[in-house]
Parts: sequence; structure tokens; C-alpha cells
Amino acid sequence: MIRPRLRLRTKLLLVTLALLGIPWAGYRYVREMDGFLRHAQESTLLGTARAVATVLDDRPRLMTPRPDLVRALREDRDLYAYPLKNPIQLDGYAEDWSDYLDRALTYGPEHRLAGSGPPDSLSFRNLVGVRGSYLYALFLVRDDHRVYRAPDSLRLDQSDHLIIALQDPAGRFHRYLLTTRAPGWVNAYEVDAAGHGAPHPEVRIQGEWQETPGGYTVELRIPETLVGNKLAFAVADVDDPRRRTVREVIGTAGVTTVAALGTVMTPSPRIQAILRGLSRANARLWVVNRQGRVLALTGSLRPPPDETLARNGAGPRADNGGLLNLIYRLVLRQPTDQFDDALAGASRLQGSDVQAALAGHGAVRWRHTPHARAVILSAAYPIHDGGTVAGAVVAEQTGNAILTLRNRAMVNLFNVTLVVFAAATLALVLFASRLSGRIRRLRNQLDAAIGPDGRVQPAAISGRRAGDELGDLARGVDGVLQRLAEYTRYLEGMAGRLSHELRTPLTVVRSSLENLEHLDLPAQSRPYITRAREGLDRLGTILTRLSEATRLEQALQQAERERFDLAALVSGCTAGYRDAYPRRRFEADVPAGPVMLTGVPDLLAQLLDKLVANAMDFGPPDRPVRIALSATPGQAVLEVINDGPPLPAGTADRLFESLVSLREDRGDSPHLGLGLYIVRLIAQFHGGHARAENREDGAGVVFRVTLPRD
Amino acid sequence: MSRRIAIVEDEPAIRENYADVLRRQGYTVQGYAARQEALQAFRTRLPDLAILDIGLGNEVEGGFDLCRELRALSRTVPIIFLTARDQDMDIISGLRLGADDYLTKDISLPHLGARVAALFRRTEALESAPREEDLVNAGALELDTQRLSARWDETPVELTVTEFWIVHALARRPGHVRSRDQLMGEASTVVDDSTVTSHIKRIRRKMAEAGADPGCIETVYGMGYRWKPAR
Repeated sequence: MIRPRLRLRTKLLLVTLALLGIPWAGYRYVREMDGFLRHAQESTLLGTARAVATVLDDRPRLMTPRPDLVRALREDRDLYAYPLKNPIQLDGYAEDWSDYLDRALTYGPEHRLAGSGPPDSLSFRNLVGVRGSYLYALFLVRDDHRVYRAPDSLRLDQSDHLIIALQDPAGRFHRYLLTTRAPGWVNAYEVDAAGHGAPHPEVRIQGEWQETPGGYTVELRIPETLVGNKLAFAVADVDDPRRRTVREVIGTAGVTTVAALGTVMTPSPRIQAILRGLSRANARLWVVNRQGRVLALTGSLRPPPDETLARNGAGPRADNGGLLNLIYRLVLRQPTDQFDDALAGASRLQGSDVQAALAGHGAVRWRHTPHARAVILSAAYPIHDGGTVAGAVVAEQTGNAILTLRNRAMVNLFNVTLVVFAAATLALVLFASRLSGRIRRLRNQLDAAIGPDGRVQPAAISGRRAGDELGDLARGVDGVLQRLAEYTRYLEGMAGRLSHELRTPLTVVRSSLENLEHLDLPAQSRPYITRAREGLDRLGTILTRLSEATRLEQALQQAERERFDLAALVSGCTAGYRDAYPRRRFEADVPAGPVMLTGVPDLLAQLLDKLVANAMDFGPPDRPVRIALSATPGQAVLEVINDGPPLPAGTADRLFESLVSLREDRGDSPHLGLGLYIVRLIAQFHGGHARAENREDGAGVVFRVTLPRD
Repeated sequence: MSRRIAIVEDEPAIRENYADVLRRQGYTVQGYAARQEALQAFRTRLPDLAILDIGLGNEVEGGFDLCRELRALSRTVPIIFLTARDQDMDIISGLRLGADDYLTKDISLPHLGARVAALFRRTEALESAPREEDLVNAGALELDTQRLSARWDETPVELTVTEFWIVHALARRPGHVRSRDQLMGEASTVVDDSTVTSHIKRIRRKMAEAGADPGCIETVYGMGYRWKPAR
């Protein structure tokens, strides 16, 4: 398994990821804050609702003009008069009502007051509105057979007609009929409760009757002064133009007695006035009665047009459209004013909060608008009227403010996190770079301190003064290197010291032997003295060689370089070898011209001596030792080639180390493995290097010294 | 009256062995183990020749100090360093302090005797007039084998005994190559090749100081050295 090599810098960068915990914690915090804000908004809104409710407390006339009429009503008997925003033109067309059409109540067979008929022969939809001092009503009637009032008939009830029954503010019961001879402008006639007696035209109730495919439309207007609390409408259907009998009557409520009438709920102008004084920005206040009917409404959930949310700051800086803001806009839900408010214009409020308030205690509710474009908070608080609940105040507000705050907090949080993250990452990268740089420097210095030959070079380890662990490490490494260098020096000086220490006892023995020779000794003791002398000489040779390397190192320090001809040196040395060893053959391959080199000729002669001595020891006596010198402008290569046995694998470089000898047979003269070490020292002193390798034909070994030329 | 030799050597066996050899050759020998002891004696009476070890007991360089002090007492008494230390630096230091010769303990006793005799001979010769038969001339170089002194164009060249014999061996037969072994034999000393090399180096420098061409001693690589015949 390959373990991935992670750099210190990479590791620290990975550690940086731990900082990602910051935004998480921040997110949690923001969520919590969101909860607190919601709670605060709930309290505030509930407070608002309670304040408004307190204002309305114990003002029975305000809430219910006729407390005796307050009773449980069926919703479909009651009529709610919407406050109409647009003027209504009495033209028999429903266009003016388009904002409210979807709230029109449909009355069908289940609202039948009299008669019978096929299920789909008669039904109508009704809307009631208030504007100015008029009550408006719209009837969209489906009728399979339209029968108009006969031209010659005085009777009002022998054709399709509309019945209006109401109680006026004074509490008197009135009943009106509306019919027409042809589509067009219509007026009402007041009739008595039984429908008999002479009809009395009531011109204040006016309207327009228009035919529609499958029925007709009636749009009419009633002065508010005529209408008290109670109101009911009914549509009577006559299908047979000859018999002209009322076949079926469908109504919003009973139209014959006061008790049967439904209630008409009109927004209370007085409550409205009170509410207007209490209205808050961005909040909507409702006042509902016990049935949840809306009595008053003020304010709007949408802010005034000049105060758009964009300016409030949905994003940090909406005009600064960077990539970051784009991401924020995508990730965070943005508050918007473009939501559908299903409740706007509602005639009746429902919901847990309203029910709780009508049951006597305040409550709040969060709800989503359709399509979840916005969240709306509503708080309801009961209005008391002498111990009973007379209604409730409902205050509504969008959650946009909180959402905006939360978004802003989120954006700030992410921005801060981003900055902190970037700063921390940068700091860590710098720190890691510096750290790994120091470690790298230490490693490089450590590498450099131990040379390729395994010798400890005297090199100062930097960064020892640092007070941290790396400083400790540097100091430790420095200490180890110092001790190692001392130990290496000790080992290297060992041979020299050993020879020095041994020389004194050796001198004692030698001088004693020499003194002994001057005495009259028996003849038979001579050979022993001679042998002792021989042994002593060998010991002396060993000691001399032991100290040779040490002496050489010292000599190198004082050596004076000169410019000389290496070719002449090699030729001269070769001639010397021939003289010194007449029984061996030496083959020299030296360039004819001079090979000038800057160096110490004595040392190079010593180098060649060692190489040749080595070659003579290893090569067979009957084979020549070959000495080859070649030169390029950049370097000179000196080779000494023997025909001896090849080197064992892997020993070529060790050969040049101190006290390493691969000789298997111990010859007469001692071998300490210092000869090739001296070769290496001299080669290195001249900036070159020494190598040993087996000849390609396997018949011998090449010792090659490469020396740079200037 | 026999000549008096002082041996300052902290190793009693060596001291006594050397003393015995020299006594056998007719010298009066006093042995000292420590620097202070020797210095006391020198102040009372100067020896005719002093053989000093460098390391004396605890004093690693006590011999050098003693040499300096003895030289202060007398400018002429011959001083030989005889030591186990054969490092170039030690040799240079010893000779710079005014020693007449520097021998390592590898030297055989007969060689030591010869060297002592040569130094005494030189001391004697300095007191008498130079004799013609003792002079060897090689170009501008004049060697007096009796006084063991060398002159280049009448300028004295301060050579140690070892150096003198090396120069002598080379200059007597100009043009002939002398191997290192031969030079060592001529100089009655046992040193290794590199010591010969450093001797040659010092000789060249001294010759150069006296105005001679340092190339007068020519290196024949692999063989040895030769005196360059005068042109």
C-alpha cells in the first residue's frame, strides 16, 4: 500500500478545514437569534393586538349595534358587505366586481325557501359591497326560463323577481320586490310582509337588470340609511309565462319575518377610525366579531411603495452584484413583497389564533402565503365586553423583517468567516512554509554535514538560536554532529595516535636490543636477537603506515600547489618503477605532449605509487601493470589497470575507505587498507575522485582517478 | 675530559638505553625526567649537547619550552630533538626554536651515535679554520663537511645536520639521481618518503632564502632527486 506523502503545508491546510466549524456555529447562532426574533415579534404583535383590543374593550355599541340580535348565525344566512375600492356603475355587468367575484357566495336548491323544481333550474351567486353611503349588491342568476313581467300586469310577483327583506335602523321590517318588463333600469317596490297590498315604489333602491346566457344579472344599489343590521335577499323564479306562478324561491335567508333575516355585516366606520389611529407600518389590523366576521381592517402587509425591500437590504449591497452576492441570493431565501395574500378582503377570519382569541385568550400563528413566498405572523387578542368575548383584534405582519435581519446576519457571518478563513489559511500557509523551510534547511544542512563518503564535515547548523522545538532539534542535531565529528576525528586519528603511543614501547624494545648486541652474548642467542630485530622492523613499518594517512592529511593542509606536467610525472614514475622492480613489466600509455595540471606533484606521485603498489599486489607477477593517462581540456584521467581477480560486487566504493582491505592472502608486508584511502584523499584534494571497477572483459580491475584541469 | 650529554626523557627505559649507548662511546651522560629538573641542572652547568624529548610527563610540549630556555642560556650548545612525534608541524616547530636536528625514535642507536659525533665535530670545527680537503663545491654552493655548514655565494645557509647530509649527497654527484632511500642512508636517518619530501622542501626554501635557484634540487618523479648540474 502506498501511503500518500503529505507535505507539512498540505497537512496544515487540512487542519485549516477545522475552521469550517466557525460558520456552522455561526449558523446555529443565527438560527437561535432567528427564534428569539420571532418570539420578540410574536410578543410585540400580540402586544399590539392587545393594545388595540383594550381600546375596543367594553364598547358594546361599537362591536354589536344591537346586542339583542347577537346570536349564533349560520354563515350563509349572513351577508358581508365588502368595502368596495372601485366605484360601481349600475350597468348590469359584473366587471366592476371583478376583485371580489371569487368571494361570491352561491345559493342553490339547499337554500330553497319555497316551491320546488329541477335541481339546476335556479341558482344564483351574490356579492354585497359598501361604498360611500350605498350598499351595493350583485346577483348572478342562473335561470333556465326567463319570464318578465307582463306588460299589462300590475302584479309584481308573476314574473322572475328579486325580494329584498331588511330591517331599517329604526328596527322596522321592510320588504321590497324588484321585477322588470324588460332588461334595463329597475326600481324596487315596497310591499307588505305578506306580499299583498298596493306596491309602493321605492326609487331609492335602484338597479340594472341584464340578460345573460342561461340567466340574468341584477346589479343594484341601496342607500345605507335604509339598511339596519338585518338583510336578506331572495330570487323567485317563474317558469311558465302563461300560468305565471312562482315555482321556486331561493334566498340568502328567510324574507318573511325579521327573525328569519340574515345579518349584514358592514365594516364599522367608527372602529375603522379608531384602528387608523393605531395602525402600524407594515402591519395589518383586523377587528372581527364573535363570528370571525371582519368589522374593520387597516394597514397593509406590503410596505408603502417608496420603501422597497430591495433598499432595506435583502443582500449586503444589492447594487454590488458580485459572484458572492449572486451565491447569497441563490442560497438564502429572500424576503419579497410579491406574495399572494389570500386574506386581503376576506369577510371572515379563521385560524387557530382567531379561534383562541374568540375563546378568550390571545394567540399567535405563523402561516405561509400561497406558494410559500412569505411567512405571515398573526396575533389575535380577544375584545371583552363586560365579561364576554365580543370579538377579537387580529394583527398581522410578515416575517420579512426577521428574514431580512437573518439574511443580513448570515451574509455578515459568511463574509466574516470567509475573511477569517482566508486570513487563517494565509497565516497557516506562511507559517507552514516557514516551518517546512526551516526543516528543509535543517535537513539539507544535515545532508551536507555527512559527506558522500560518510565523513562528518564541519558545518554549522543554522537556526540553533531559535527557542522553539525546531531550535531544540537544530541544537540536538548540531550536538550530535559535533560529537559524531569528534568521534570520526577520534577514529581517524586513532591510527596516528596508536602509532604514536606504540612508538615509545617500541623504542624501549629497539634500544634495549641494540644495547644487547654490544654485550658478549652466546652465539646461539644471535638468531633470536636477529629475529627480534626483524619483528621490530615490521612493527615499525606498520606504525609508519598507520600514521601515514594522518600525516598526509596534515600535509594536505600545508601543500602548495604548482603548475606542472602530469605526463612527465607519470613517465618519470613509470621509469622509476621499472628500475625499482626490474622483474615486473610496466606498460605506460602517456600522451606525447605535456598535460599541464595545477596541483602538488609529490602528492600525485604518491598517489601513483599507491595505485601501482596495489596493482602489483593484485596482478599476476607475469602480467604487466598498465598505466594510462588521457587528457581532455577539462580533465585528466589516470588509469592503473591490473590483470588480477575482479572485485566482489558492491565493494568498489568501500575500497577507498580507511582501514578497508579486501586482500584474502596476507603477504609478507603488512596491509592496513590505507593505500587506496590515501589515493582518495589526494584525488579529493585535487578536486577529483577515484573509482575502481572491473574491466569489461572481466580479466582485471581498473583504478581510475579523474582530476579536473583548469 | 669527556663531553657531557644531557638526555631529557620521561621514559626511564629509553633514557637509560640511550645513556648506556652514549656512555659506551665515551661520553658523560646525565639523564633528566622532567623539564624543571633539567633546567635546574642546565643553569648550574651547561651540557655540551642536549637530547630532548618533546612530551615530558604531563607537559605535552615541555621539550619545546626547554629548548627555548636552553637556547636562552646558550646560543651554541647543540640541541637534538629525539621524539616519537614525527609530524611535520612538530619538526618545523622544533627546528624553528633553534634545535640543530630533529630525529624520530625510529632511528637506530648507531645512527644516533653518528649524529652526536657529527654535531660535536661541527662544534669543534667551528673553533678551527676550515680545511681545504673538507670543502665540497657544486657551483655556487660550498659545503664544509667538517663544520657541517653550507654557503651559497658566500651567504651561509642554515641547514640542520640531516639537511646538510641530504644536500651533500646530492651536490657531491651533480646530475645523478638519488633515491629517497639513498638520501636517508646518506643522512644516517630513518624516515619515510614523505619526511624526505618535507626535508627537501625545507632545503629548497632555505637555499632560496640564501639566493639560490630553488630548482637546483630537481625532483625526478618516481625515482628521487638530483642536483641540477651548473650550466
